[in-house]
Amino acid sequence: MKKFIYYLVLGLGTLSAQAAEYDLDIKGQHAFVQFKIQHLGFSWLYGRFDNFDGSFTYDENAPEKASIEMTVQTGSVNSNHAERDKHLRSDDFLNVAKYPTAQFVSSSFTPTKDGHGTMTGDLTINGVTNEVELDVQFVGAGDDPWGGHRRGYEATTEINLSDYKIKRSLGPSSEKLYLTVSVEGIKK
Amino acid sequence: MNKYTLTTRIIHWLSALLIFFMFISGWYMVELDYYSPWYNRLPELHYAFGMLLMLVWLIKIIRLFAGQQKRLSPPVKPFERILSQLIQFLFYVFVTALVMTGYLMMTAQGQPKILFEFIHLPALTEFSGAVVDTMGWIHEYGAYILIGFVALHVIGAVKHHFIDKDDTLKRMI
Repeated sequence: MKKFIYYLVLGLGTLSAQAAEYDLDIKGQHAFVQFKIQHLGFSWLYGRFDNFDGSFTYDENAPEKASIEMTVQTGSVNSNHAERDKHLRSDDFLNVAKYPTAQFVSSSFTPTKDGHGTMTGDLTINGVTNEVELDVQFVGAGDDPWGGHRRGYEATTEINLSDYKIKRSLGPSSEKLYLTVSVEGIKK
Repeated sequence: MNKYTLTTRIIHWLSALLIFFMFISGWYMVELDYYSPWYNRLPELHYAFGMLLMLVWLIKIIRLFAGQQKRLSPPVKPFERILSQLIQFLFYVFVTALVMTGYLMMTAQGQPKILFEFIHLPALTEFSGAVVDTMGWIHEYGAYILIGFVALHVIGAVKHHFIDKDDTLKRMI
């Protein structure tokens, strides 16, 4: 009996030491890939990607080991204007025919406090990969009312369109795009 | 000389003018700089004249089936006749495909398209991005092929006028 308890404790200890894996809640759609960019310097244009998937890991005892991988279907770009979306899918911008996906693969996480931190990783858009840093805000975590365990974040970063070889110029005010990734993961 | 009817001639030259404008404007508008004053105006003109072409084309097809567009038999070799008839048939196919894809792309959002604040075009249905991109591809390459046929058509007319020195072109003027 003592041995059994010993192994049980050991087993639980091993389990808790492992990073928990979370799948993005795509089914219930509690995950968003949004962007905004200035129009002529007069206003903000908002858009989003409708189709994407990914997962992340997080260990409360070792938050620096947190990681995330996401793949976005670039053809799902949606700025609430069919003609503009068609233009965004063309080789003037996202070149969807040649590069149907965009990816983010994290390489390191630097925790600050309260679960927040900075996520560094490789962002690939239009076939071009650059290292980016995302400012990660921890929103909340806990048991949901339906028997699952959830954890959510919102991450933001700025990217220059020219860094991703997006050749079409929209003017000096519209060179920088602000990206917000808001995700909720369900523990596997 | 036995000329084509006035209506046939008007429709022919109106179609020619519209197709020429549609090709040039379509080709040029996608290259325009975002800060060009024509960036919004030229596509709107392209759409509006495209709708006019659609109307003209509808009349043309109705007249074709109603037997109003009598073909005159020019003094040509059988091979030339087959070629010219084939090209004219392809005009019907390509222009119809181009105006249809154009219309459907304009209204792909599922909302009516309003041109110059007075032309209201109802949306027939909503399309996904992938379908819109396919229609865009057909629209672009279809236009290049159509212009190839137009070139052959023009070369034929010029050849009849200057080399064969017959009435083929004069009958349409």
